[in-house]
Amino acid sequence: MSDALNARSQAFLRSVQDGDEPTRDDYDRVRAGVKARLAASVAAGVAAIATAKTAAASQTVVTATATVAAGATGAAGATTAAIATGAAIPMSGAGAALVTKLAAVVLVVGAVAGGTTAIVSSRQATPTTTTTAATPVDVAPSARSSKRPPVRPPAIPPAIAAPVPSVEATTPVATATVAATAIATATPAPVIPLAVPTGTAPGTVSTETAPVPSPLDAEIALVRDAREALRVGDPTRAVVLLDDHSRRFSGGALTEDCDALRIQALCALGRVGEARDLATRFLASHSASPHAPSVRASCGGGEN
Amino acid sequence: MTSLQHAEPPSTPLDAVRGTVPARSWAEFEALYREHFRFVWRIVRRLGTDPQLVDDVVQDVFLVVHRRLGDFQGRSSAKTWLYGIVRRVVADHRRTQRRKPGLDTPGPAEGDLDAMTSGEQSPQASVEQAERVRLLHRLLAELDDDKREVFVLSELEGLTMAEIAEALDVNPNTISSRLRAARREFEAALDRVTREDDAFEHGVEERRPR
Repeated sequence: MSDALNARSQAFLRSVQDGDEPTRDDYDRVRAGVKARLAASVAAGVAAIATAKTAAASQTVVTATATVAAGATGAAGATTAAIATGAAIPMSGAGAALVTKLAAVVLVVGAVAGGTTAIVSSRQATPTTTTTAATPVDVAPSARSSKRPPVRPPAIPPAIAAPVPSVEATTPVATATVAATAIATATPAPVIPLAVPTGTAPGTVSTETAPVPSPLDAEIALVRDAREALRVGDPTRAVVLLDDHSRRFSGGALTEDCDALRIQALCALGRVGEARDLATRFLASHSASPHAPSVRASCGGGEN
Repeated sequence: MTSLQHAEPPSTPLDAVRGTVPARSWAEFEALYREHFRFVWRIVRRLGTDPQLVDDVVQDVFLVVHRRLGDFQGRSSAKTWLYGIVRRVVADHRRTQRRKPGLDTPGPAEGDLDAMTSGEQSPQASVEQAERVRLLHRLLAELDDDKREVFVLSELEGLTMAEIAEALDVNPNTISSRLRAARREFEAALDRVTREDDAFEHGVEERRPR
Protein backbone atom coordinates (compact mmCIF):
# COMPACT_ATOMS: atom_id res chain seq x y z
CA MET A 1 0.00 0.00 0.00
CA SER A 2 1.53 3.24 -1.09
CA ASP A 3 0.33 4.94 2.07
CA ALA A 4 2.47 2.69 4.21
CA LEU A 5 5.54 3.84 6.02
CA ASN A 6 8.70 3.48 3.94
CA ALA A 7 11.06 0.60 4.57
CA ARG A 8 13.69 2.72 6.21
CA SER A 9 11.28 4.11 8.76
CA GLN A 10 9.80 0.70 9.37
CA ALA A 11 13.22 -0.74 10.03
CA PHE A 12 13.96 2.08 12.41
CA LEU A 13 10.70 1.59 14.29
CA ARG A 14 11.36 -2.12 14.58
CA SER A 15 14.70 -1.37 16.15
CA VAL A 16 13.12 0.80 18.82
CA GLN A 17 9.92 -1.15 19.25
CA ASP A 18 10.91 -2.31 22.70
CA GLY A 19 12.71 0.86 23.61
CA ASP A 20 10.13 2.22 25.98
CA GLU A 21 9.30 -0.92 27.87
CA PRO A 22 9.04 -0.44 31.61
CA THR A 23 11.14 -2.51 33.93
CA ARG A 24 9.82 -4.73 36.65
CA ASP A 25 10.84 -2.05 39.11
CA ASP A 26 8.77 0.48 37.22
CA TYR A 27 5.80 -1.84 37.44
CA ASP A 28 6.17 -2.38 41.17
CA ARG A 29 7.01 1.19 42.01
CA VAL A 30 4.04 2.68 40.19
CA ARG A 31 1.74 0.04 41.59
CA ALA A 32 2.85 0.83 45.12
CA GLY A 33 2.32 4.51 44.43
CA VAL A 34 -1.18 3.96 43.13
CA LYS A 35 -2.09 1.85 46.12
CA ALA A 36 -0.67 4.35 48.55
CA ARG A 37 -2.67 7.12 46.99
CA LEU A 38 -5.83 5.06 46.94
CA ALA A 39 -5.34 4.16 50.59
CA ALA A 40 -4.73 7.81 51.32
CA SER A 41 -7.95 8.84 49.70
CA VAL A 42 -9.82 6.26 51.72
CA ALA A 43 -8.19 7.48 54.91
CA ALA A 44 -9.29 10.97 54.09
CA GLY A 45 -12.70 9.58 53.32
CA VAL A 46 -12.87 7.97 56.73
CA ALA A 47 -12.10 11.29 58.33
CA ALA A 48 -14.65 12.98 56.15
CA ILE A 49 -17.36 10.54 57.05
CA ALA A 50 -16.55 10.65 60.71
CA THR A 51 -16.62 14.37 60.88
CA ALA A 52 -19.57 14.88 58.62
CA LYS A 53 -21.73 12.55 60.64
CA THR A 54 -20.86 14.15 63.92
CA ALA A 55 -21.19 17.59 62.52
CA ALA A 56 -24.59 16.99 61.09
CA ALA A 57 -25.84 15.57 64.33
CA SER A 58 -24.56 18.05 66.79
CA GLN A 59 -23.32 21.09 64.96
CA THR A 60 -20.19 21.03 66.97
CA VAL A 61 -16.71 21.98 66.10
CA VAL A 62 -14.99 18.83 65.29
CA THR A 63 -11.44 17.95 64.83
CA ALA A 64 -11.04 14.47 63.62
CA THR A 65 -7.83 12.81 62.98
CA ALA A 66 -7.33 9.66 61.15
CA THR A 67 -3.99 8.14 61.48
CA VAL A 68 -2.81 5.89 58.81
CA ALA A 69 0.11 3.87 59.82
CA ALA A 70 1.63 1.51 57.44
CA GLY A 71 4.51 -0.76 57.88
CA ALA A 72 6.84 -1.35 55.06
CA THR A 73 8.82 -4.48 55.04
CA GLY A 74 11.29 -4.41 52.27
CA ALA A 75 14.46 -6.28 51.76
CA ALA A 76 16.11 -3.89 54.13
CA GLY A 77 13.30 -4.05 56.59
CA ALA A 78 12.60 -0.40 56.19
CA THR A 79 9.51 0.88 57.76
CA THR A 80 7.47 3.77 56.80
CA ALA A 81 4.50 5.42 58.27
CA ALA A 82 1.88 7.71 57.12
CA ILE A 83 -0.34 10.11 58.78
CA ALA A 84 -3.57 11.24 57.42
CA THR A 85 -4.88 14.18 59.18
CA GLY A 86 -8.23 15.53 58.44
CA ALA A 87 -9.46 18.59 60.18
CA ALA A 88 -13.03 19.39 59.71
CA ILE A 89 -14.63 22.52 60.95
CA PRO A 90 -18.34 22.52 60.38
CA MET A 91 -19.94 25.83 61.13
CA SER A 92 -23.54 26.51 61.68
CA GLY A 93 -24.63 29.54 59.80
CA ALA A 94 -27.77 31.61 60.22
CA GLY A 95 -29.87 28.68 59.13
CA ALA A 96 -29.19 25.04 59.14
CA ALA A 97 -26.43 25.22 56.60
CA LEU A 98 -23.27 23.47 57.54
CA VAL A 99 -20.07 24.10 55.82
CA THR A 100 -17.56 21.39 56.18
CA LYS A 101 -14.07 21.86 55.08
CA LEU A 102 -11.87 18.93 55.06
CA ALA A 103 -8.23 19.20 54.48
CA ALA A 104 -6.29 16.06 54.54
CA VAL A 105 -2.69 15.58 53.96
CA VAL A 106 -1.72 12.07 53.62
CA LEU A 107 1.79 10.99 53.56
CA VAL A 108 3.38 7.91 52.31
CA VAL A 109 1.79 4.64 52.99
CA GLY A 110 4.40 2.04 53.03
CA ALA A 111 4.69 -1.22 51.37
CA VAL A 112 4.59 -4.64 52.80
CA ALA A 113 6.15 -7.33 50.75
CA GLY A 114 4.07 -10.43 50.70
CA GLY A 115 1.49 -8.95 52.95
CA THR A 116 -2.17 -9.00 52.52
CA THR A 117 -3.70 -6.73 50.04
CA ALA A 118 -5.31 -3.64 51.31
CA ILE A 119 -8.18 -2.93 49.10
CA VAL A 120 -9.46 0.51 49.02
CA SER A 121 -12.41 2.22 47.69
CA SER A 122 -12.93 4.98 45.25
CA ARG A 123 -16.37 5.33 46.68
CA GLN A 124 -15.11 7.47 49.49
CA ALA A 125 -15.38 11.10 48.71
CA THR A 126 -12.27 13.09 49.35
CA PRO A 127 -13.04 16.76 49.35
CA THR A 128 -9.47 17.94 49.50
CA THR A 129 -6.65 15.56 49.44
CA THR A 130 -3.04 16.24 48.90
CA THR A 131 -1.02 13.17 48.47
CA THR A 132 2.64 12.68 48.55
CA ALA A 133 3.48 9.25 47.40
CA ALA A 134 6.72 9.21 45.52
CA THR A 135 8.82 11.73 47.29
CA PRO A 136 10.67 11.78 50.55
CA VAL A 137 8.35 12.72 53.27
CA ASP A 138 8.34 14.92 56.23
CA VAL A 139 5.48 15.72 58.43
CA ALA A 140 5.25 19.40 58.83
CA PRO A 141 2.82 21.28 60.99
CA SER A 142 1.12 22.19 57.76
CA ALA A 143 0.00 18.61 57.52
CA ARG A 144 -3.05 19.87 59.20
CA SER A 145 -4.91 22.71 57.74
CA SER A 146 -8.28 24.20 58.16
CA LYS A 147 -10.10 27.44 57.76
CA ARG A 148 -9.61 28.23 61.36
CA PRO A 149 -7.27 26.93 64.00
CA PRO A 150 -8.30 23.73 65.70
CA VAL A 151 -9.95 24.03 69.03
CA ARG A 152 -7.18 22.11 70.65
CA PRO A 153 -3.90 21.36 69.03
CA PRO A 154 -3.94 17.67 68.35
CA ALA A 155 -1.07 15.81 69.82
CA ILE A 156 0.33 13.94 66.92
CA PRO A 157 3.32 12.01 68.11
CA PRO A 158 6.20 13.23 65.98
CA ALA A 159 7.78 9.85 66.26
CA ILE A 160 5.24 8.51 63.82
CA ALA A 161 6.70 10.59 61.11
CA ALA A 162 10.33 10.21 61.87
CA PRO A 163 11.69 7.19 60.06
CA VAL A 164 10.09 7.74 56.73
CA PRO A 165 12.06 6.80 53.69
CA SER A 166 10.78 7.57 50.26
CA VAL A 167 8.63 5.12 48.40
CA GLU A 168 11.62 4.47 46.20
CA ALA A 169 13.54 3.35 49.21
CA THR A 170 10.91 0.90 50.28
CA THR A 171 9.96 -0.67 47.02
CA PRO A 172 13.04 -2.50 45.86
CA VAL A 173 12.13 -5.66 47.64
CA ALA A 174 13.75 -8.96 47.13
CA THR A 175 10.80 -10.72 45.64
CA ALA A 176 10.14 -10.31 42.00
CA THR A 177 6.51 -11.07 42.36
CA VAL A 178 3.94 -8.53 43.23
CA ALA A 179 6.13 -6.64 45.54
CA ALA A 180 4.59 -3.86 47.36
CA THR A 181 1.29 -3.89 49.01
CA ALA A 182 0.08 -1.14 51.14
CA ILE A 183 -1.70 -1.83 54.31
CA ALA A 184 -3.37 1.07 55.86
CA THR A 185 -4.95 1.18 59.21
CA ALA A 186 -7.07 4.01 60.31
CA THR A 187 -7.27 4.33 64.00
CA PRO A 188 -8.49 7.13 66.11
CA ALA A 189 -5.60 8.41 68.14
CA PRO A 190 -6.75 8.35 71.74
CA VAL A 191 -4.79 11.43 72.71
CA ILE A 192 -6.60 13.56 70.22
CA PRO A 193 -9.87 15.16 71.10
CA LEU A 194 -12.31 14.00 68.52
CA ALA A 195 -15.09 16.39 69.11
CA VAL A 196 -15.63 19.31 71.35
CA PRO A 197 -19.18 20.50 71.74
CA THR A 198 -19.31 24.25 71.64
CA GLY A 199 -22.68 25.26 72.90
CA THR A 200 -23.66 28.22 70.78
CA ALA A 201 -20.84 29.93 69.02
CA PRO A 202 -18.16 27.90 67.33
CA GLY A 203 -15.51 29.87 69.12
CA THR A 204 -16.85 29.06 72.55
CA VAL A 205 -15.23 25.95 73.84
CA SER A 206 -15.95 24.16 77.00
CA THR A 207 -12.74 22.33 77.57
CA GLU A 208 -14.24 20.27 80.36
CA THR A 209 -16.81 18.60 78.16
CA ALA A 210 -16.09 14.97 77.49
CA PRO A 211 -15.12 14.26 73.91
CA VAL A 212 -17.85 12.80 71.75
CA PRO A 213 -16.33 10.33 69.35
CA SER A 214 -17.90 10.06 65.96
CA PRO A 215 -19.84 6.90 65.23
CA LEU A 216 -17.24 5.61 62.85
CA ASP A 217 -14.41 6.23 65.27
CA ALA A 218 -16.32 4.37 67.94
CA GLU A 219 -16.99 1.51 65.58
CA ILE A 220 -13.35 1.33 64.58
CA ALA A 221 -12.28 1.29 68.22
CA LEU A 222 -14.71 -1.46 69.04
CA VAL A 223 -13.54 -3.66 66.22
CA ARG A 224 -9.95 -3.01 67.12
CA ASP A 225 -10.61 -4.07 70.70
CA ALA A 226 -12.35 -7.21 69.53
CA ARG A 227 -9.45 -8.10 67.28
CA GLU A 228 -7.03 -7.46 70.09
CA ALA A 229 -9.01 -9.65 72.46
CA LEU A 230 -8.87 -12.44 69.91
CA ARG A 231 -5.20 -11.93 69.42
CA VAL A 232 -4.39 -12.21 73.11
CA GLY A 233 -6.44 -15.35 73.43
CA ASP A 234 -9.64 -14.00 74.93
CA PRO A 235 -12.29 -15.04 72.41
CA THR A 236 -15.04 -14.70 75.01
CA ARG A 237 -14.36 -11.02 75.34
CA ALA A 238 -14.08 -10.73 71.57
CA VAL A 239 -17.57 -12.18 71.20
CA VAL A 240 -18.94 -9.82 73.83
CA LEU A 241 -17.45 -6.88 71.97
CA LEU A 242 -18.75 -8.14 68.66
CA ASP A 243 -22.21 -8.55 70.15
CA ASP A 244 -21.91 -4.98 71.31
CA HIS A 245 -21.00 -4.00 67.78
CA SER A 246 -24.05 -5.77 66.39
CA ARG A 247 -26.30 -3.90 68.80
CA ARG A 248 -24.79 -0.49 68.32
CA PHE A 249 -23.73 -0.54 64.71
CA SER A 250 -26.16 -2.76 62.92
CA GLY A 251 -25.24 -2.53 59.27
CA GLY A 252 -22.13 -0.51 60.13
CA ALA A 253 -19.18 -0.01 57.87
CA LEU A 254 -17.20 -2.73 59.60
CA THR A 255 -19.85 -5.41 59.68
CA GLU A 256 -17.98 -7.64 57.28
CA ASP A 257 -14.85 -7.46 59.44
CA CYS A 258 -16.88 -8.23 62.51
CA ASP A 259 -18.42 -11.28 60.92
CA ALA A 260 -14.98 -12.56 59.98
CA LEU A 261 -13.71 -11.92 63.50
CA ARG A 262 -16.71 -13.62 65.02
CA ILE A 263 -16.05 -16.75 63.00
CA GLN A 264 -12.50 -16.82 64.33
CA ALA A 265 -13.73 -16.25 67.87
CA LEU A 266 -16.37 -18.96 67.67
CA CYS A 267 -13.78 -21.40 66.40
CA ALA A 268 -11.48 -20.48 69.27
CA LEU A 269 -14.35 -21.19 71.66
CA GLY A 270 -15.07 -24.52 70.05
CA ARG A 271 -18.49 -23.38 68.89
CA VAL A 272 -17.93 -25.02 65.54
CA GLY A 273 -21.56 -25.32 64.52
CA GLU A 274 -22.19 -21.63 64.92
CA ALA A 275 -18.93 -20.82 63.22
CA ARG A 276 -19.89 -23.01 60.30
CA ASP A 277 -23.30 -21.41 59.92
CA LEU A 278 -21.83 -17.97 59.97
CA ALA A 279 -18.98 -18.91 57.64
CA THR A 280 -21.41 -20.38 55.14
CA ARG A 281 -23.43 -17.20 55.10
CA PHE A 282 -20.31 -15.08 54.99
CA LEU A 283 -18.84 -16.89 52.02
CA ALA A 284 -22.16 -16.84 50.22
CA SER A 285 -22.37 -13.09 50.38
CA HIS A 286 -18.71 -12.09 50.47
CA SER A 287 -16.94 -14.67 48.39
CA ALA A 288 -14.42 -12.15 47.11
CA SER A 289 -13.80 -10.56 50.49
CA PRO A 290 -10.21 -10.24 51.61
CA HIS A 291 -11.36 -12.12 54.69
CA ALA A 292 -12.69 -15.01 52.65
CA PRO A 293 -9.41 -16.96 52.67
CA SER A 294 -9.17 -16.83 56.45
CA VAL A 295 -12.83 -17.72 56.80
CA ARG A 296 -12.37 -20.69 54.49
CA ALA A 297 -9.35 -21.76 56.47
CA SER A 298 -11.20 -21.47 59.76
CA CYS A 299 -13.03 -24.28 61.54
CA GLY A 300 -16.22 -23.09 59.91
CA GLY A 301 -14.89 -22.95 56.39
CA GLY A 302 -14.98 -26.60 55.53
CA GLU A 303 -11.35 -26.66 54.44
CA ASN A 304 -10.22 -28.57 57.42
CA MET B 1 1.00 -16.22 48.34
CA THR B 2 0.03 -15.25 51.79
CA SER B 3 -2.21 -17.57 53.63
CA LEU B 4 -4.07 -16.11 56.51
CA GLN B 5 -4.81 -18.91 58.75
CA HIS B 6 -5.75 -18.43 62.30
CA ALA B 7 -6.14 -16.01 65.12
CA GLU B 8 -4.82 -12.92 63.30
CA PRO B 9 -7.34 -12.05 60.66
CA PRO B 10 -6.28 -9.65 57.96
CA SER B 11 -8.88 -7.11 58.73
CA THR B 12 -8.14 -3.49 59.25
CA PRO B 13 -10.72 -0.78 59.52
CA LEU B 14 -9.78 0.41 56.08
CA ASP B 15 -10.24 -3.04 54.67
CA ALA B 16 -13.64 -2.94 56.14
CA VAL B 17 -14.55 0.41 54.76
CA ARG B 18 -13.49 -0.94 51.42
CA GLY B 19 -15.54 -4.00 52.15
CA THR B 20 -18.70 -2.22 51.17
CA VAL B 21 -17.36 -1.86 47.64
CA PRO B 22 -17.54 -4.92 45.46
CA ALA B 23 -14.23 -6.68 45.77
CA ARG B 24 -14.69 -7.68 42.16
CA SER B 25 -13.91 -4.09 41.22
CA TRP B 26 -10.55 -4.33 42.85
CA ALA B 27 -9.84 -7.58 41.09
CA GLU B 28 -10.77 -5.95 37.82
CA PHE B 29 -8.51 -3.05 38.54
CA GLU B 30 -5.63 -5.37 39.31
CA ALA B 31 -6.25 -7.27 36.13
CA LEU B 32 -6.29 -4.10 34.08
CA TYR B 33 -3.11 -2.92 35.71
CA ARG B 34 -1.36 -6.20 35.17
CA GLU B 35 -2.41 -6.48 31.57
CA HIS B 36 -2.04 -2.91 30.42
CA PHE B 37 0.58 -1.29 32.57
CA ARG B 38 3.20 -1.67 29.86
CA PHE B 39 0.92 -0.22 27.22
CA VAL B 40 0.14 2.78 29.38
CA TRP B 41 3.77 3.28 30.30
CA ARG B 42 4.97 3.12 26.69
CA ILE B 43 2.29 5.46 25.47
CA VAL B 44 2.95 7.95 28.22
CA ARG B 45 6.64 7.94 27.27
CA ARG B 46 5.98 8.24 23.59
CA LEU B 47 3.54 11.06 23.87
CA GLY B 48 6.50 13.09 25.05
CA THR B 49 6.23 12.99 28.84
CA ASP B 50 9.32 14.10 30.67
CA PRO B 51 10.97 10.86 31.84
CA GLN B 52 11.10 12.19 35.36
CA LEU B 53 7.35 12.58 35.36
CA VAL B 54 6.41 9.27 33.81
CA ASP B 55 5.83 7.66 37.19
CA ASP B 56 3.47 10.40 38.25
CA VAL B 57 1.57 10.41 35.00
CA VAL B 58 1.13 6.66 34.93
CA GLN B 59 0.00 6.70 38.55
CA ASP B 60 -2.52 9.37 37.74
CA VAL B 61 -3.78 7.36 34.81
CA PHE B 62 -4.42 4.37 37.01
CA LEU B 63 -6.06 6.42 39.71
CA VAL B 64 -8.50 7.64 37.09
CA VAL B 65 -8.89 4.08 35.88
CA HIS B 66 -9.75 3.00 39.39
CA ARG B 67 -12.24 5.79 39.81
CA ARG B 68 -13.92 5.15 36.49
CA LEU B 69 -13.89 1.39 36.52
CA GLY B 70 -17.64 1.39 36.19
CA ASP B 71 -17.39 3.18 32.85
CA PHE B 72 -15.22 0.45 31.48
CA GLN B 73 -17.53 -2.43 32.14
CA GLY B 74 -19.14 -3.61 28.97
CA ARG B 75 -16.70 -1.93 26.66
CA SER B 76 -15.03 -4.10 24.13
CA SER B 77 -11.52 -2.76 24.15
CA ALA B 78 -9.57 -1.89 27.24
CA LYS B 79 -6.87 -0.24 25.18
CA THR B 80 -9.13 2.28 23.51
CA TRP B 81 -10.74 3.12 26.85
CA LEU B 82 -7.37 3.42 28.55
CA TYR B 83 -5.98 5.56 25.82
CA GLY B 84 -8.81 8.02 26.26
CA ILE B 85 -7.70 8.41 29.88
CA VAL B 86 -4.00 8.51 29.07
CA ARG B 87 -4.27 11.35 26.59
CA ARG B 88 -6.25 13.51 29.00
CA VAL B 89 -3.88 12.90 31.88
CA VAL B 90 -0.86 13.55 29.68
CA ALA B 91 -2.42 16.77 28.42
CA ASP B 92 -3.17 17.87 31.98
CA HIS B 93 0.39 17.22 33.04
CA ARG B 94 1.72 19.08 30.07
CA ARG B 95 -0.36 22.10 30.97
CA THR B 96 0.83 21.96 34.56
CA GLN B 97 4.40 21.50 33.48
CA ARG B 98 4.29 24.57 31.29
CA ARG B 99 3.46 26.58 34.35
CA LYS B 100 6.56 25.27 36.09
CA PRO B 101 9.57 26.59 34.22
CA GLY B 102 11.97 24.58 36.33
CA LEU B 103 10.68 21.33 34.94
CA ASP B 104 11.03 22.34 31.33
CA THR B 105 13.87 20.08 30.45
CA PRO B 106 13.89 19.68 26.71
CA GLY B 107 14.59 16.28 25.29
CA PRO B 108 14.16 13.00 27.06
CA ALA B 109 16.73 11.80 29.53
CA GLU B 110 17.90 8.26 29.32
CA GLY B 111 17.97 7.13 32.91
CA ASP B 112 15.40 4.42 32.68
CA LEU B 113 16.58 3.37 29.26
CA ASP B 114 19.87 2.43 30.78
CA ALA B 115 18.15 0.41 33.42
CA MET B 116 15.97 -1.22 30.85
CA THR B 117 18.68 -2.37 28.52
CA SER B 118 21.34 -3.27 31.02
CA GLY B 119 21.99 -6.92 31.43
CA GLU B 120 20.68 -7.81 28.03
CA GLN B 121 23.19 -6.15 25.78
CA SER B 122 26.78 -5.10 25.76
CA PRO B 123 27.37 -1.61 27.10
CA GLN B 124 28.05 -0.39 23.59
CA ALA B 125 24.87 -1.89 22.19
CA SER B 126 22.99 -0.54 25.15
CA VAL B 127 24.21 2.96 24.50
CA GLU B 128 23.36 2.68 20.83
CA GLN B 129 19.91 1.45 21.64
CA ALA B 130 19.39 4.31 24.08
CA GLU B 131 20.51 6.65 21.36
CA ARG B 132 18.01 5.21 18.92
CA VAL B 133 15.20 5.48 21.42
CA ARG B 134 16.13 9.07 22.06
CA LEU B 135 16.01 9.70 18.36
CA LEU B 136 12.57 8.14 18.20
CA HIS B 137 11.35 10.51 20.88
CA ARG B 138 12.88 13.42 19.07
CA LEU B 139 11.15 12.47 15.85
CA LEU B 140 7.85 11.94 17.59
CA ALA B 141 8.20 15.32 19.25
CA GLU B 142 8.32 16.91 15.83
CA LEU B 143 4.84 15.70 15.00
CA ASP B 144 1.92 17.72 16.22
CA ASP B 145 -0.22 16.16 18.95
CA ASP B 146 -2.91 14.83 16.63
CA LYS B 147 -0.49 13.17 14.27
CA ARG B 148 1.77 11.89 17.02
CA GLU B 149 -0.92 9.96 18.82
CA VAL B 150 -2.25 8.38 15.67
CA PHE B 151 1.25 7.46 14.57
CA VAL B 152 2.17 5.95 17.94
CA LEU B 153 -1.05 3.99 18.25
CA SER B 154 -0.84 2.63 14.75
CA GLU B 155 2.85 2.16 14.02
CA LEU B 156 4.15 1.34 17.46
CA GLU B 157 1.17 -0.14 19.25
CA GLY B 158 -0.47 -1.81 16.29
CA LEU B 159 -3.99 -0.58 16.87
CA THR B 160 -6.34 -0.69 13.90
CA MET B 161 -7.90 2.36 12.31
CA ALA B 162 -11.22 1.40 13.86
CA GLU B 163 -9.69 1.12 17.32
CA ILE B 164 -7.93 4.45 17.02
CA ALA B 165 -11.09 6.08 15.76
CA GLU B 166 -12.92 4.70 18.78
CA ALA B 167 -10.20 5.73 21.20
CA LEU B 168 -10.16 9.29 19.91
CA ASP B 169 -13.82 9.45 19.10
CA VAL B 170 -12.92 10.70 15.67
CA ASN B 171 -14.11 9.67 12.23
CA PRO B 172 -11.96 6.82 10.78
CA ASN B 173 -11.38 8.78 7.60
CA THR B 174 -9.89 11.57 9.60
CA ILE B 175 -7.66 9.07 11.37
CA SER B 176 -6.48 7.67 8.05
CA SER B 177 -5.55 11.03 6.67
CA ARG B 178 -3.80 12.00 9.89
CA LEU B 179 -1.83 8.79 9.84
CA ARG B 180 -0.86 9.29 6.23
CA ALA B 181 0.38 12.78 6.93
CA ALA B 182 2.18 11.60 10.08
CA ARG B 183 3.99 8.90 8.15
CA ARG B 184 5.21 11.32 5.51
CA GLU B 185 6.42 13.75 8.17
CA PHE B 186 8.11 11.02 10.13
CA GLU B 187 9.90 9.68 7.05
CA ALA B 188 11.09 13.12 6.10
CA ALA B 189 12.27 13.85 9.62
CA LEU B 190 14.12 10.56 9.85
CA ASP B 191 15.83 11.19 6.53
CA ARG B 192 16.80 14.67 7.54
CA VAL B 193 18.07 13.69 10.96
CA THR B 194 20.10 10.79 9.71
CA ARG B 195 21.60 12.95 7.00
CA GLU B 196 22.52 15.54 9.58
CA ASP B 197 23.79 13.07 12.05
CA ASP B 198 24.07 9.37 11.42
CA ALA B 199 24.86 8.50 15.00
CA PHE B 200 21.88 6.24 15.19
CA GLU B 201 23.54 3.93 12.69
CA HIS B 202 27.20 4.36 13.46
CA GLY B 203 27.72 5.22 17.01
CA VAL B 204 27.27 7.47 19.88
CA GLU B 205 28.70 10.79 18.88
CA GLU B 206 27.51 13.69 20.87
CA ARG B 207 24.37 14.98 19.30
CA ARG B 208 24.27 18.66 18.56
CA PRO B 209 21.11 20.57 19.15
CA ARG B 210 19.29 21.13 15.95
